[in-house]
Amino acid sequence: MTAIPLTFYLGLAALLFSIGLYGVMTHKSGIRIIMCIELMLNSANLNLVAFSSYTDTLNGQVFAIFSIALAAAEAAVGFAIFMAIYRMHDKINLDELNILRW
Amino acid sequence: MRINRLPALLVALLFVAVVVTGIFGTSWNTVSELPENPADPSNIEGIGMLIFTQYMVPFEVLSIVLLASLIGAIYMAKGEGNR
Repeated sequence: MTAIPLTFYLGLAALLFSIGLYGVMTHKSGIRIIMCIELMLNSANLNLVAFSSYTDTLNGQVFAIFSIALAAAEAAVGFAIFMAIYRMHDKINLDELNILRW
Repeated sequence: MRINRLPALLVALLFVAVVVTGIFGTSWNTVSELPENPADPSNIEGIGMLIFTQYMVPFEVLSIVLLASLIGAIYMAKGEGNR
């Protein structure tokens, strides 16, 4: 089985991470920022699976499963926080919220 | 607050440029062909063995984390009206 070189996987992961980084820096809506954070986490998962496959071990895939589960937990908590904030303040844009300022 | 898209785009492009030059400048010590065992083409069994032998404690901790985050998310999203 001829293999795609490892650098292609890493380049794709870097591109996905960069897209997520750009989205985190530019978007205002909290939902979109959470989606971009998920994109960055999935690029890290792609790196893990690529290295796991190219070193003939399965540890990276187990790490990827843990990372996916933690990303699911983080997304659930984040969406719950944004839902509570929207219910209290009727705002979802992060530049209009100053409830953590003392 | 107005978000400037150009600095964000510059930062993202700089990031991907640095990472891609680092990736393609490194000589990765990898196998030339992906290992393939015809007797066992699936890796589900291997992942299950690793989860339940070597990574058993992180797996249990992960279950506790998932349960706690689920309860916390339900508590925060439920609201205060129907308590």
